[in-house]
Amino acid sequence: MPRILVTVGMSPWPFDRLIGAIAPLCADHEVFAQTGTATVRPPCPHRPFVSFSELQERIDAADVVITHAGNTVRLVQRAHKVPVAVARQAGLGEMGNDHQVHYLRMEEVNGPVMAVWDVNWLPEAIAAHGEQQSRLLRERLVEPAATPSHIIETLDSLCARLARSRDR
Amino acid sequence: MRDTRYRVLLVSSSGGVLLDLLALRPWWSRHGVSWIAVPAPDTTALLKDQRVHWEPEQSARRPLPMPAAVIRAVRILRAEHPDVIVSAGSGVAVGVFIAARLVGIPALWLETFNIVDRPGIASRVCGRLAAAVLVQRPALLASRPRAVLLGELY
Repeated sequence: MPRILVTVGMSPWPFDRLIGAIAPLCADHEVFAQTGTATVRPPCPHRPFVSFSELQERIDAADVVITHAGNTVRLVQRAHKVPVAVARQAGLGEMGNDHQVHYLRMEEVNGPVMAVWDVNWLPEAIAAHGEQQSRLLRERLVEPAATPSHIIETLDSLCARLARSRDR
Repeated sequence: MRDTRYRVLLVSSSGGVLLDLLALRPWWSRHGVSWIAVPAPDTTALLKDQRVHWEPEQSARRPLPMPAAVIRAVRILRAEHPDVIVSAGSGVAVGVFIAARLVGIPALWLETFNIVDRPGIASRVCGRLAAAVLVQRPALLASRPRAVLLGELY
């Protein structure tokens, strides 16, 4: 039975639209949902929050990850998987702004992600995921992350510059 | 490799902005670190071994924080004497960045990964107050004040 991880992050804003829409998936998939502050309860194992290490383990173990369009999208992509992403919308009380909408519109064009704008379409997205994932991973590359040495060098030289200008 | 050890104050709400700061660990672990963080399940778990001043979240929708938050931030800055402050957001950072400007401590704003175009309110205020804005996407270099490209953090 395919394993699905659903995660909506740590936001204080409930994402009931997504959590409420996973019920049809629970019958024929092994679903675990990190529900955050959602006020609806899905008919599958769920917890409001999981630790970061557990989240990473669950991302690695899942066949499909359904996520809000937060930074988790990249975490899933770094695990060489194509996330199914749903953007929180300010107009629906799911976030204070539409950053996730803007991000997902861009990522949908350029990145290995399946964007779902109508949550009623989630079962179809899951059904198509295997084929889409193979294609997207083949066609769309993710920028490599900054190396630790680049991060150290950039910030140390910035701090040195700031210290010099303070001493002047 | 520089030997200079800085006092670094990291400021974070919960969520993805915390992951951004944790991704800077290769850098800040070489320096002296303290935190101002908003209590939440992820911050309390991930920062359990860190020195943290816990502060309530400030609404990111309000352009300016409560004066009490700025006063508390000034007290923390005077106690910690950081050389530099770094934050990716969100609301809690605004009061700290205002306090940093009052006390004369440079602050770095880190644009979180999934901001791809217009900055939010906290980002606009903190970006203006910051000595530099660290961006993860080259496309943001032109639109952010004093932008420095750091690259994708994770």
